[in-house]
Amino acid sequence: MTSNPDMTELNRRQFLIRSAKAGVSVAAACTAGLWFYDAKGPDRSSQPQMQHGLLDFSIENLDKKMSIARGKNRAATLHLAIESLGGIETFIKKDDQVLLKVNAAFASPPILSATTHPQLVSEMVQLCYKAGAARVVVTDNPINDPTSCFALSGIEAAARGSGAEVVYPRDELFRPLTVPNTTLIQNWPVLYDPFEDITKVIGMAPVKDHHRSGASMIMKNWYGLLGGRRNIFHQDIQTIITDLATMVRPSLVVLDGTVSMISNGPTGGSLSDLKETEMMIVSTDQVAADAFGATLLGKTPSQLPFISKAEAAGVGTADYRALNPVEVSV
Amino acid sequence: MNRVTENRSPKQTLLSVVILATLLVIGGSIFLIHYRINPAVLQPGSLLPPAQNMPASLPPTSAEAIMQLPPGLVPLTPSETFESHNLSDKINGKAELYLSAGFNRLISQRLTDGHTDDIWFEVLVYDMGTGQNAFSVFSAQRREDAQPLGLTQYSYRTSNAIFLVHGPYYMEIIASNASEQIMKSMQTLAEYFIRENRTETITIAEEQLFPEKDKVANSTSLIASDAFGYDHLNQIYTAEYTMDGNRLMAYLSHRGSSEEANKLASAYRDFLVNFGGKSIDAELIITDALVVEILDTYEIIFPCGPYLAGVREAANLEQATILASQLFNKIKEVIGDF
Repeated sequence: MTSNPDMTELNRRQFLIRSAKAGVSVAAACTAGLWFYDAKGPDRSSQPQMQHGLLDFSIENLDKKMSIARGKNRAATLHLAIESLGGIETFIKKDDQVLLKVNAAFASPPILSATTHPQLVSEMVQLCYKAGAARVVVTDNPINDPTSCFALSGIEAAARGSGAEVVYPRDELFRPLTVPNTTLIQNWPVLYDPFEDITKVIGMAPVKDHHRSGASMIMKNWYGLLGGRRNIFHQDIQTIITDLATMVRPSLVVLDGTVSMISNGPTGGSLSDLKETEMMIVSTDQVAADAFGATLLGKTPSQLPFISKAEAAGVGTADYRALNPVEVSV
Repeated sequence: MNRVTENRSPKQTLLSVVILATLLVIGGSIFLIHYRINPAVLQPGSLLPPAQNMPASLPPTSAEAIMQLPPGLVPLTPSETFESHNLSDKINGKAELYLSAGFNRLISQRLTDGHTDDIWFEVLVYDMGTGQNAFSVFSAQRREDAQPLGLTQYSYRTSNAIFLVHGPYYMEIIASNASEQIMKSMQTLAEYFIRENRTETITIAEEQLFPEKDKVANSTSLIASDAFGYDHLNQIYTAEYTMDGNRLMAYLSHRGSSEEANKLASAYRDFLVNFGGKSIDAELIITDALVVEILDTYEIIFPCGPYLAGVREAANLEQATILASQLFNKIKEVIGDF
């Protein structure tokens, strides 16, 4: 029988030598690690400061509410829907600083309904001032060139014409943000500074078909707060919408289903992509608003995965009927 | 007693070298990655896309060469060019439709005719590489109220827009409002574009393989990828049919060989079964036909020579069988025995 070299026994001296060598190796590795370790991290003295947390502007002690106003005239349905929830004073108080997050994604005219309708922006700004708001800001980080988008969509003229301040996205307004309990919004640049000193946030979006996500409504509209190469999120669009809804807790949302883009969204292009659905949805629950909006596109909420995902994340309820929505007609 | 070093086998030595080399590679990689800080966080200057998207690599006159304007039209904005990496900066979530269909480049510009007050229009020319690719994005977005224009083999208008395929180009001209006056100017631009950019007329040969009986006019489409939710189904031609008020779809795709077609038919059947479909036995004249009942509709999948073909979304098995038989016979009639 031949002896196995692996089974050769060590004597005491060899064992001690080997142990010493192993100890030196471990100590060398630790020293190298310590040498590379940078407790301060990269110098960011000139960089925006990392932010953590939510953009939470939900109104304390206010039950979830929803109103659905039927009619063709946006101004009339907006007023009626808000009135049916107790009036604008329920949501906006004296000296509030209000931010309207509109959808100004494309440099397209209002008639194509790819962006928030300027009449709606104008009415909302006036309502806020009527309630005593000290300042109203309108902002978005559009897909196309911001100047063209705000101008051609009519949003800039409508906002300024009614006394609001329009904030274009600029580099220095973005900050890296990490949102707890989200998958994708980790250390990602977000249009953050316009929210400084803001006390109320209102999300305003049209009802649209969307080639990737199935629909673009209130929750998808927060996408316009992202900076960087955000198009990578299209690969996981349902998750990013859920994350965005987790990130922003608005005071109120206005979902414009007066005319819905039922096909070829989110850009559309032809008037035949649109359908007069004649609904204005106002709610404090963005998930419920989108769940109802889905029906205007001929879909059920369960056909849009981001709705159930947002509900599971605790953002709101997909069962909009549970809110006993007030239904009114002009 | 032997020294331990003398007892090392060549295998052990080799293994040790491999392990040490692997550790060195890992260490080196970590060292290099250490310097690649998240640019989104530390380079705020790059947070926003540039307003102008003309890539430096393009010849400076290429956009103008394609987008020549007829007399009377006035540019409102400079032309913009978008490529695969920044197409979503222009059309956001719809970019995937174009990218999956072979998109090369988009040139867009806003124009006015100087006569129609307050109305402007935007022209978008998508270079899709081939006529088939252009047809794919054209057919995927065909509007229900489309009025054929006759400018090219595939062209139509709606109340405010013109859509057409010209060689490898898919063109959209979209007005900011509905106006017959501006529509005339848009049509002039389309005609000028077709005249100035001569290309071969595209042929969608698969259109002839669909039976005409019960077929909905202008319903032929090409799905470039991920057809019916199955990622192995690409380059699928579809056509809509109406039978006794029920809508159903026929489809076909050239797969290169009958073996490939056979394999894909089985794989697609398995995909449907995995998603809750029920494979059922049915008497059909088509050899190797597979029948699946799913979500209260019927699907028939079959290979036909090098073609994968089938019927889906049929409200009942009888109608599915009739259409599948018609499709099978038509393919055989056109391509002959196989």
